Amino acid sequence: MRRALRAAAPWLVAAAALVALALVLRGYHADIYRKMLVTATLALSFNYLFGVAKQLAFSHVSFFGLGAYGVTILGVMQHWPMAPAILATLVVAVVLSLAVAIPTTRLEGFYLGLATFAVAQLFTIALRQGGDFTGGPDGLHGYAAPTLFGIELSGRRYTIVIIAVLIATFAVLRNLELSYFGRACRAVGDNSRAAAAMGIDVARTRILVFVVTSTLAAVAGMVYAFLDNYVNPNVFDFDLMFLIFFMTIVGGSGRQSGVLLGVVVLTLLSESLSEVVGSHSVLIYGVIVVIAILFWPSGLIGLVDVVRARLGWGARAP
Amino acid sequence: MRDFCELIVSVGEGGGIYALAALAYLLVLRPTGIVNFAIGELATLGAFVGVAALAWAKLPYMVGLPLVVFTVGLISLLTERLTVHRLIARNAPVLSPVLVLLAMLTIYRQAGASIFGTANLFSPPPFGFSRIAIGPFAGASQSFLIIAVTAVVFAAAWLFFERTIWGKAFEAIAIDRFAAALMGINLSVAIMLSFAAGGAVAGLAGLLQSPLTSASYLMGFPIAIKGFTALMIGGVGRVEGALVGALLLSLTEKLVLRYAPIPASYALAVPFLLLILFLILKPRGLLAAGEVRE
Amino acid sequence: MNFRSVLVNALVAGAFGFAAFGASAESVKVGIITDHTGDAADYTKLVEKGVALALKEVNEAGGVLGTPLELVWENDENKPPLSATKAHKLVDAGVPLIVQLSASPAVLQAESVTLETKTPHLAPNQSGDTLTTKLDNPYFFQMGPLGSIQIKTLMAFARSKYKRVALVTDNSGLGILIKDTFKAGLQQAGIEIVSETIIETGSTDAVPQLQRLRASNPEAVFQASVTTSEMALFFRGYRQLGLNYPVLGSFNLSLPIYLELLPGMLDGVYFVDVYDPDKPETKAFIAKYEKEFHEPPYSLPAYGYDAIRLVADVIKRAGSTDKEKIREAFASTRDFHTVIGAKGTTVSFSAQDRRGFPQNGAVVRVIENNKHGPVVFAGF
Repeated sequence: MRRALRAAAPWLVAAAALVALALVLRGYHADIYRKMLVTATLALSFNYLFGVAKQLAFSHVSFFGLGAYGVTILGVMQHWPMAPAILATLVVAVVLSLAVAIPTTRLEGFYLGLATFAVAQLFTIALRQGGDFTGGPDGLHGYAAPTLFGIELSGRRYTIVIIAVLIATFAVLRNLELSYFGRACRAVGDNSRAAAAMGIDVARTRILVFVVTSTLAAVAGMVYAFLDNYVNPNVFDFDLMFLIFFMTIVGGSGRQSGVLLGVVVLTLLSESLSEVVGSHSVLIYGVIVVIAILFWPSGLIGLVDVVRARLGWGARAP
Repeated sequence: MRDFCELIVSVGEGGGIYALAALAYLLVLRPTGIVNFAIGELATLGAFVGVAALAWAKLPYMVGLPLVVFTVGLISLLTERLTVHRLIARNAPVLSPVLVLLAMLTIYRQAGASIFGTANLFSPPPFGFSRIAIGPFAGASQSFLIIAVTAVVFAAAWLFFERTIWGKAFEAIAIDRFAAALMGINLSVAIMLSFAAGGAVAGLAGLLQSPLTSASYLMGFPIAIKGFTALMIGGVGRVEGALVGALLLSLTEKLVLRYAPIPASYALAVPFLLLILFLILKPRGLLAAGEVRE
Repeated sequence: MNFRSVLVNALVAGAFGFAAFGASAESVKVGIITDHTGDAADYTKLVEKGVALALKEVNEAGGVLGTPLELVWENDENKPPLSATKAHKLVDAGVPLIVQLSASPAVLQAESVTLETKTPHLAPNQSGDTLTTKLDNPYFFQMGPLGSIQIKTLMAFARSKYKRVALVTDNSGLGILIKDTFKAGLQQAGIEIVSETIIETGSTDAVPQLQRLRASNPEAVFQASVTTSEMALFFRGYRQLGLNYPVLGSFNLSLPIYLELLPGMLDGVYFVDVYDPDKPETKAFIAKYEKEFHEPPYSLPAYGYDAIRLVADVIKRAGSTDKEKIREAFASTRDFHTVIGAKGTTVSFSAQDRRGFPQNGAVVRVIENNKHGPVVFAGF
């Protein structure tokens, strides 16, 4: 019993801290906080796909969009109840990610990036040309917040939902990482030929990890849909993809704590930068990423480790 | 028939730009295995430097063109020295140079936008906006210029790779880097030069296209995509592959736009579908290549 | 600091010798969300010139409610989620009214916030037709010229003249939208569309599309493009191929950049505009603008100019900075004289119809001698 409590302790503390912050912040700061939480959820799944399994997939933000649009179209426009809408969206995400993953398994590195980029472009075209079904270039608007057991989930209550999804995503990826499958993923990502030589089914592993992470991205999307009750194609574009990408690299790809650090740092940075620098903030991000790749390949979290080692603090499990 | 010949000129023009972009990738890809996606932005920089030299400083074209080519080649070379070189030297994972170049893409674009602004800029065509007819083939004078320049560049590239020692050295590096180094080929210099050449060609592509569309900080991305698609189709191995792939892509695109009875909106998906198709089915492209490493 | 914010601040400071002190405690602050760094920045920076001029004028005449009018600027980079965040920021800062210059999707996302916080919200330059209907937000008012109104005027002009037309656009969101609106308008007017072509972003030339257009043998061409490069491609190719069907464009062609990029290639082209240089209010505006900026104005600065003048008028009529009173003042705006709009038209709002631009407010103008020429048709 005590062991279970000790294992659960860090989770409970983290959850409590996040919820406390949600209750304290209001208005503008609450808005930034919520968007940061959703971005973090998205970045976590991207980190696993790119940082661990080393798949450069530019389609990630499209699955994010798929989740958002799916739950909005089904749950609101077609008036399905929430639960079947969520389930159906997940099924669509799984099917589509399989459709993308299976033909592209043999592609590596940049070539996979380009194929997934093409998929992302097709997705955007489909959204814009979708007419009334997808709301076209202006998107879908004006739907109400979802209700659970009769309680409307908006405002602070919704922030709690976001936190729950974030923690759940973190937990799922954590368990994945510690499992046999997780080790296989890492092996395939590091060196697919060596992994094959060890008997791992490379194709199956790559497909599975793509499907799982893309579906998690769709889950993050479902949460996004009710942030401002508005979805439109402009949000799920390449700018967001680059942002997630930067957060992962700068924070420390491959490690969950790294990515979360990257999200927090970049969000706070853009807030403070926009006052001072405005137009050149993207330029600065680019420079930071170049510096990170050249000089801190393990990301900011790597620097944190170095600092901790210097201070003599114990190492924490990544 | 007159229409078709006119269309052929258009295919040549589009194919020319795509071919130069594909060549820009190829020059870097062959010796290093690195895909420099930033060539699109280098093309944009070429267009901008062209505007500065030709429209603002009013230099003659014979001075402006080499200036653009030299400047963008230099920018690419410096990038290699400052970033890629370090990564290769310390044996960083294969994806790192690609990622750093993606970051450079953003830097080039933002720097271009900061210096030249985000509004479109007028880029003067050397022969004006006149129309030329060579036999049944008619088109804008700029289109013919593009076709001519592309032909010259590719002839030069082919000669370089097939007939010169340095060209053979590049091929050797592409086939087996370590053996080439053992043979005394200076890898570091070769890679540096390949980046410079890739940049120069990309800058040229941007300069040539900008009189038609005007110079804009967003023009690089489509060039990068089309160039890469052309390369995929034609084959990553050979110079001829870049040209063949580019012409095929341009031909398919323009024929569909002109004659296909599908709604205009769906025609837009064609290049992306082609890209995906070739990536999946024929990643080596249509023409057989020498050894290619991924 | 970028040049634009320096310009605006300088004008405001110039209007008020004592802008430095007393401004925060004793001023009416109005929020303004614009794009300084995103893809709408080239457009909004021109609107902001009109904003700066009007702000100076309002404050020189004594401000509002006896105190200076001050603008609180926020940059949303034309990104919808950021737009909503900045709206939150402004509301938290206590502004009773938000003016927004960025594009329709950004406005829509910010509307979620202004509805929730019951904050009056003005869109003075956006032409999206569904901004007041996609979300039922009684605090949101749109003064921008609706796409549908502009198209209606263009169609009325074309109806008697052409029976078979070609349609050209680009593949941007707005380009497709305008094309669809054109299509609906043409079909309603009983005009046949003989060909439809799209010039994709990043195209190197438009020859195949122009050939297709030529093969369909139209009587006129409707140009719905909005992206500069593709519009340039179209006209250069059009002239190069020697085509001379009349061209009718959307309000996008009212932007002066095309005159710079396509010198001499646009003569005879018709375009929709909301600006008549012959209108008395416009003449007055032109005089003031030229004195301030040493160049002639056109529709974009006019939107900004009208926006701030309307804001000042609304606050005066509300008599306070109470959000409800401001909303009511907006909803009871009648016959407000603006620079935008055809001669003799004015702007009015009501609680049921929060779209202020008059139905007969659009005009068709022709380009002559590489300049925006006179109005040839107004209303419908």
